[in-house]
Amino acid sequence: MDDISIMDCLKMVKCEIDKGWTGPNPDCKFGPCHYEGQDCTYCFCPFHPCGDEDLGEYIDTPNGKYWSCVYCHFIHRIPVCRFIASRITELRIREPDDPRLRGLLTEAKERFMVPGKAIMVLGATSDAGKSLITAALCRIISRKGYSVTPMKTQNMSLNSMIASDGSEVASIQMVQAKAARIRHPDRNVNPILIKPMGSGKTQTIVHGKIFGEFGVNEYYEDFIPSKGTEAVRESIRLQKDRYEYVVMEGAGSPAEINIYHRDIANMRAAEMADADCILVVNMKWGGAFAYALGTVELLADDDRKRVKGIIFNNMHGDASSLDSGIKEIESILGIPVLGVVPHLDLPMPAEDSMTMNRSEGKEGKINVIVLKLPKIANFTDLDPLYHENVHIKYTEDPRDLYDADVIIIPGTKDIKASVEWMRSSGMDVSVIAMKGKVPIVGICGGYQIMCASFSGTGAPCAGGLGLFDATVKWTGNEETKRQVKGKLALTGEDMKGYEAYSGCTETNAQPLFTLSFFKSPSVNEGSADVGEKLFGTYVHGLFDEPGFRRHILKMTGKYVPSGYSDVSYDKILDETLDKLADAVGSSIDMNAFNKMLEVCR
Amino acid sequence: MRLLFVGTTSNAGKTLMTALFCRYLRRKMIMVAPFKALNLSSTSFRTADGDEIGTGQALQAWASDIEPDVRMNPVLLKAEDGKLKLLLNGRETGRMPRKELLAHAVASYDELCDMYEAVVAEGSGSAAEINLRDHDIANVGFAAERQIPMVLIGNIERGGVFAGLYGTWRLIEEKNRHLLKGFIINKYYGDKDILRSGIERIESLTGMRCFGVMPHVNVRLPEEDSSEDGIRTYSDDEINSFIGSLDSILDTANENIDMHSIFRVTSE
Repeated sequence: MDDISIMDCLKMVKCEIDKGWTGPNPDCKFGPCHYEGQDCTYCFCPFHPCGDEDLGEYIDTPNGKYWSCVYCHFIHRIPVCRFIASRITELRIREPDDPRLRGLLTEAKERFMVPGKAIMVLGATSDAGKSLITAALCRIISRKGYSVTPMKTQNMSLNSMIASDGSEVASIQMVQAKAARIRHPDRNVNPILIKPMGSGKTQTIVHGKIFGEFGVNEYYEDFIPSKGTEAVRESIRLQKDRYEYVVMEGAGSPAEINIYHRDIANMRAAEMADADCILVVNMKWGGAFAYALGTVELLADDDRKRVKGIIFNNMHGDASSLDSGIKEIESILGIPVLGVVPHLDLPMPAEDSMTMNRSEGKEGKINVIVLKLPKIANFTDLDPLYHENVHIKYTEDPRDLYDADVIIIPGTKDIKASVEWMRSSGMDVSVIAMKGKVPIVGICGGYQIMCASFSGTGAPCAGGLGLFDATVKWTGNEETKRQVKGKLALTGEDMKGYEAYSGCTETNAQPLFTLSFFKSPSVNEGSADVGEKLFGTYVHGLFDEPGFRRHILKMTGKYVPSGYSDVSYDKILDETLDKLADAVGSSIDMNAFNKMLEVCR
Repeated sequence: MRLLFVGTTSNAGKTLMTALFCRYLRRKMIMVAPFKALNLSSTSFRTADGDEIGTGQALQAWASDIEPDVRMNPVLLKAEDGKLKLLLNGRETGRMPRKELLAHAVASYDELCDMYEAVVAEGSGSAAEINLRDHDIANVGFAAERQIPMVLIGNIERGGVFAGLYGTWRLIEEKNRHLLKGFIINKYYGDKDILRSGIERIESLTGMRCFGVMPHVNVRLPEEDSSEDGIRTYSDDEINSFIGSLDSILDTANENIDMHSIFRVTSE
């Protein structure tokens, strides 16, 4: 696809015009380009470049300005394609340069450009299971053949990923986007991301770019009423324009009546999106009926009307024992309980607690020890390992290192505090003592910590552990944020992932990866010292593809292939999301849910 | 003086709050005993008489400077090998209807009330499991039997505490709501002023008063781990260190909770 000329494109459009409506093409080796179930009749858009800012934007490329409409799904909706194909036939349009084509876009927009509808998943508490219910609903709606996107207006998380447009968003929204089967999730899945910093302030990321650091009061008094609200409003509008359904996720409880007016993540977002809401209540701690009732009744009158259903989540045991309570709640509130979702034992990605600490027993397993650094970040990197014959332990105790088979130094938001903590706890000595004995893998901040010295104006401290005789240089606040792909330098196997870091490592070590870029030469990345078993990289998601995962695990001498050892994590996650959607789908009243979707439309 | 601490959820902090209040009364030279009608646990403590009771009541007894006694926990449901075993007055027994269990619990409670100036009781799980209302012998169902004033504890750690407090109050049957004298917000991190408007709203909606906001304290009750038969023993050192940390937490409680008002309101 790399070198198609304008003339080729016109030829393709001509072919498409001649063929008429062809519908989705699930067999296309490039597909789905935008979302699963899309209509591929106009793989090459006959309106490109339409210049319509509802649908795309001009971006700067090395070859000048280019009309990018990677996020436009309009031309891939089935009813739109059918309409355009039938009008092309009616008007006997035969050539791509026929001036009447342009008019068809306007006609189609008038007819079909109806904003999508929003559904919001609220939680009675944090950890209610909102994220997974949101993911499940995205998959359920996608299976019905609609285009759907997840969205969380404001997420506080230390786990972020880089979206297709180079924006930093919370990683759970990327997982939900996968559940929605969209190919190019962008900044609008999570317009505001806040990360707790070492300083007691929070780093605020707006539309994927660092906006500033705020204390609590500044955040709520200054940022939220102005830029924050504006960003949320814009993302809601864009998402509703592009997708038929937007499944939004709330944050914490929507009934924090002491800060109700300044909460942008729950009912105010629901109001902006005109969303119908589903309340999720975790049964785990008891009191679920009280929390359900209390949450709904403490909402403002207009907001309460939005709540159209309740889901009790994480039920252990027999759900029928709840029947009398459910009846009572339904009759008090006049809101149906959509279902009771059982406790699910699915290896879903960690959000912020390291709750995937579920690998039980370490007998015969590869013992992966992860340093629990202060302000540890992006520990979703380890998620693929949970599907291998591996026991993972996060530790602050240097003694745990001595029976490690693999040591991971993960990313951190606070390099200085991490290095200081390692020195004061004796962790530094213990890690260095294991050099050459077991693989030590540093990721992003952890890679920098492995290096000997730090320099430049932004350097957090004098240096790290010196496992690599390398220097990390910081110049200003430049950050690299992008998705990357390439090869594992040692074996030539495929890799992909994303980078989000500042600083630049100068090293003479062998590279770990070679990254390839569109129309640019490939670039060496990371450090690998095979003899000393040291590996460092800026690339997150390094274990997603089986190549590097297998390589490290094999070095331990304890490697036993699991059923997933040759499988990309994308695929594993996709299967897990299917199981999640099946489980949630079979626990909730689908008739009632379908009606919600219809009423929405 | 009689009082029952109930919770909006399990793990709201009832056990510690009961121990603290026992300690508070003990320091006022009031003879006090702890009580919990029903315990559900995989661990128990064996009293000097050989009876099994919940470990929480043993700790609360020591906080009251008295020896643990089977009457402090007449009904114990003990999980063993995936099965539930029912212990009544410290000894294993077969199934029993709710009415009989409740009668046993009330009898133990009455005896304690005769022996001590004050009895501070702890509820079980959430006080508003409306689907289990007919089975309740530990929370409102128990309080109603002896018209025991209640204080509701809400854990703010996971958010939604106002909803939990309001919802619990709302789901308690109207005829028993007058027993609910007030609430405590527990395990709070941060600046209490931020909560004020929410607390006032709950007070005016429910008529309950807020007795205080207890900050998160790092305490682990020495009750979690147990030996193989699920019987927990405590060394003198362990007990002393528990009492020591309880005394320092009580200082925090006194600063943040209006203990005197709880005492006064529940003594009426």
